[in-house]
Amino acid sequence: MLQQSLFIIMAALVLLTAGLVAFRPRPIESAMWLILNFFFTAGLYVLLGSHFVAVIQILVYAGAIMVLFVFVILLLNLDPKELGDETSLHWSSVVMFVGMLSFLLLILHVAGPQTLEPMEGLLPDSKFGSVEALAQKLLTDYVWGFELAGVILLLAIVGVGMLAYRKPKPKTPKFLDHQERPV
Amino acid sequence: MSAPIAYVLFLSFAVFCFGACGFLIRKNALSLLICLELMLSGVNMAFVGFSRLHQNEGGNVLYFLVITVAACESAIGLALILNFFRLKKSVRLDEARALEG
Amino acid sequence: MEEQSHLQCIAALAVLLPLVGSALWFSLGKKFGEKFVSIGAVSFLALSFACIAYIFFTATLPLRINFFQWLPLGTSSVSFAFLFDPLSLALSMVVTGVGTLIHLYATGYMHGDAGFGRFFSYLNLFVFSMLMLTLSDSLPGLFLGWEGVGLCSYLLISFWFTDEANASAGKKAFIVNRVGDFGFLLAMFCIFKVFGALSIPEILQTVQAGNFSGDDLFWTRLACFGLVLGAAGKSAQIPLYVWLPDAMAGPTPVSALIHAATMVTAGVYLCCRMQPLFLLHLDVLNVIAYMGAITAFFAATIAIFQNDIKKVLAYSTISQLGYMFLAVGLGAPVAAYFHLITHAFFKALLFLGAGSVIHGLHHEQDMRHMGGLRTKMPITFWCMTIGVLAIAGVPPLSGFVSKDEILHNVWGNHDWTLVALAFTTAFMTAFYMGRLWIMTFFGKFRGHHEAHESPWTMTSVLVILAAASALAGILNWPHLWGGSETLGTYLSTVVQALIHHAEDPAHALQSSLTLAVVSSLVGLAGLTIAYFRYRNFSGEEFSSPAFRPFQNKYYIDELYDAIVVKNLRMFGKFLWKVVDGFVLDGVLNGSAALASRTSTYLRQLQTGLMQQYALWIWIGFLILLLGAWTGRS
Repeated sequence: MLQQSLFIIMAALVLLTAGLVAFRPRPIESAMWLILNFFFTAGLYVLLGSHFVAVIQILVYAGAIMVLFVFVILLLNLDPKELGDETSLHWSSVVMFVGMLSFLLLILHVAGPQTLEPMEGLLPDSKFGSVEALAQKLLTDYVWGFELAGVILLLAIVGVGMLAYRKPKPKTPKFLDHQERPV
Repeated sequence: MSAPIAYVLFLSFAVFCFGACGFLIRKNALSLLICLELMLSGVNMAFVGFSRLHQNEGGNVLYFLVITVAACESAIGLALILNFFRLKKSVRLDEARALEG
Repeated sequence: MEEQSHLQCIAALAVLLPLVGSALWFSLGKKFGEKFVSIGAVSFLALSFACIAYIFFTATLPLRINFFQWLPLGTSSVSFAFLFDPLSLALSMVVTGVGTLIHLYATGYMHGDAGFGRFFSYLNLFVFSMLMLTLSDSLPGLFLGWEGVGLCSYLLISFWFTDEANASAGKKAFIVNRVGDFGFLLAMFCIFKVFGALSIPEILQTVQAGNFSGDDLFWTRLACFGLVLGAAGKSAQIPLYVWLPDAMAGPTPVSALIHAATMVTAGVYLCCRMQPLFLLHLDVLNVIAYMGAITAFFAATIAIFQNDIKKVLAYSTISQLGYMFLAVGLGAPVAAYFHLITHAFFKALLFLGAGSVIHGLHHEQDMRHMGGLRTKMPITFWCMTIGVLAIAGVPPLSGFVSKDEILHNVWGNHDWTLVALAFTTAFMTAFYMGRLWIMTFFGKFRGHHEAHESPWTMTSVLVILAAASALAGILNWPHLWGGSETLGTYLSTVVQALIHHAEDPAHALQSSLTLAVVSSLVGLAGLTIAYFRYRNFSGEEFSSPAFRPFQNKYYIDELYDAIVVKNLRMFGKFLWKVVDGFVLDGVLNGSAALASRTSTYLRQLQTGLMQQYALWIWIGFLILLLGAWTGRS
């Protein structure tokens, strides 16, 4: 019972922060709310029993990726005109309608007597969510996917390097010593 | 005793829809990328939820792969935004409409 | 077998040499230069003639030389083969022989022309096509040659195509010939329907065996009429004769070779070749006879009133061809063939003589501006004299013998309309040829240019042809007058005569001599009247309006123009303005406009805004979701 109410509270917090992420006007604000959102999501994962995943969520997502975002946002240091941060009003009603509709449809799609039953509890000696179990799975059954993920990361590094690299502009030639200055 | 899988999925859908709505409404490219992360996070919730339902680590593995892709995507996306900013001196996406018919 | 392959080579050589020559002179004529081209063209043709002559003298006839299977048609097939029999060999000899002489003549006549190589290329191509026509074993092969000579005729009539009149004369010849070709094609279809074969010997064998039902007779009759239409088109008979006078726009050697000696006789050849088929339908033969007689008479009346020397000869050609068809229609193919050969000689001679005169007078063709050329062009004069006497039917020249044979057959047929037409035509022939001769060579010179005799290449040809036209009568000198009828015997294996003169020999000799005397008297009378009428010719003639229809060629051209050409042109205009301009262009432009208009609307979807595209994706996803949800059990 405690777990369930904890779950509900956590879910509400996740939803709240998600809404703030999506609709706060300035990107830096969104990014901050997203970090909070990730923390709450990690809490949710803990409640679900996936402890290692929760740790990863905080370390990688909140720790690494979001830092990258914040770094770029601060690097660009955009003023509101450059941001164009006002939402496009003539779309937003349509988008909200479509969003709500699809949410409703998905709920109707999923909701049923079976799915609404609480999930089975974990056995006392279950290793679910531990590093050992995940590593077992990842390095045996999904080893190819794991390797591929590594390759994709490598490609991303190379790609970002190529994209972001800018040739240094050739310096404007100064007058060399042996040339006479024009009078 | 734990929450039903349907609740997890509802939450996942809700987060995904927030992300998608944000993606469609926001005008600057940085917010767009952030919303994209939100959408991916929503999907991750569903994976972890299913993993828990079946007590099988496969969902967690998928979560692992998704964050890998998310990391790559955000890195490349940010690089693109940097280049775009250099070009246009802004990050407004409605300025990138050279393909208008 | 060895004999066969040896002859195969010779036959292939005879036909291919002109074709190769044609390709050579066309592509490299400019590079080779005039001298090389003229020597080459003449020698190629002479070689071809030698090959034909070799086969003529050595081969046992009939000889069928098969090359390869050409068109597999259902149950039967058409092979590409040559058929050497008396009919085809005799005509091939004439084609290559006269062709060689005219090539030689043309080297002098066309001297200095810009299109020298092109001219000889066409001329060689013509000889190739003509050999295909005569030697082909099957109707499609014959048709190939038939169309080939038509094409060459078109190319050569409009040889000097920068002149509008020449170009349109070529077109006229080509288009009028199409009408005849339509008949030919129709005949070919009917024949294939009845006999299921297109090889000529096969068809004729079936006809002679006579194993077909009465139902087939309808189709064979249709085939016969089709062949007559084709022959009338190619040989310029009523109603399709109008192209031949205009065809005189071409260079004179062309007129001599194509439009007098060889191509126009293709119709006669065709009728003789398919004679067994015609014998099934005697009424068709009757139609041919009347067509020929009326054409002969009709063309002769026009010829009297022409002032252009080549036009006179053109109408004379039509008239003489009418004689040949008359003989064919009366069932005397030997007489027709004999006249064909002698006509080839003397008409070629006359045309070449006229060409020599025209050449000597710097392209003056109007006889009113000639006269008194007797002393200035003596060789041409004497050769022309022989030609004129021959065509007028003065004994013992070749024209007399062959025409007498035709008249003899007409007389023996006891159809007095035909007799009257034939004899009147003979008289008129003598008259207009006498007129031509006297207006050109006698009296005072009325021209503007100083006349000169032509070079040896031209005069030597004239002399040879004059000798041939004088002596060709020996070929078929009648038995009754102590001759051997060589040609008749030679041809008797392939064609048969319908009229048998079953009288006692003494009576026959008497009647034939009477006829000969009458016909030669008719000819001489014509010449004499012409002499007295035109002895002192000085300018105008036939001023009475009563002669106007003759001078205007009975307004036939105008009639055709009003009935056919105008309406066709209006129809063409209708197609152009309404069907093409309005309907077709309307549909095309309309669909294009529709596409562009819809695309201007659809284009607005393509905003270039990435988020809008994402929204579309989401809406699509939503539709899928709705589908999945409603499809859920």
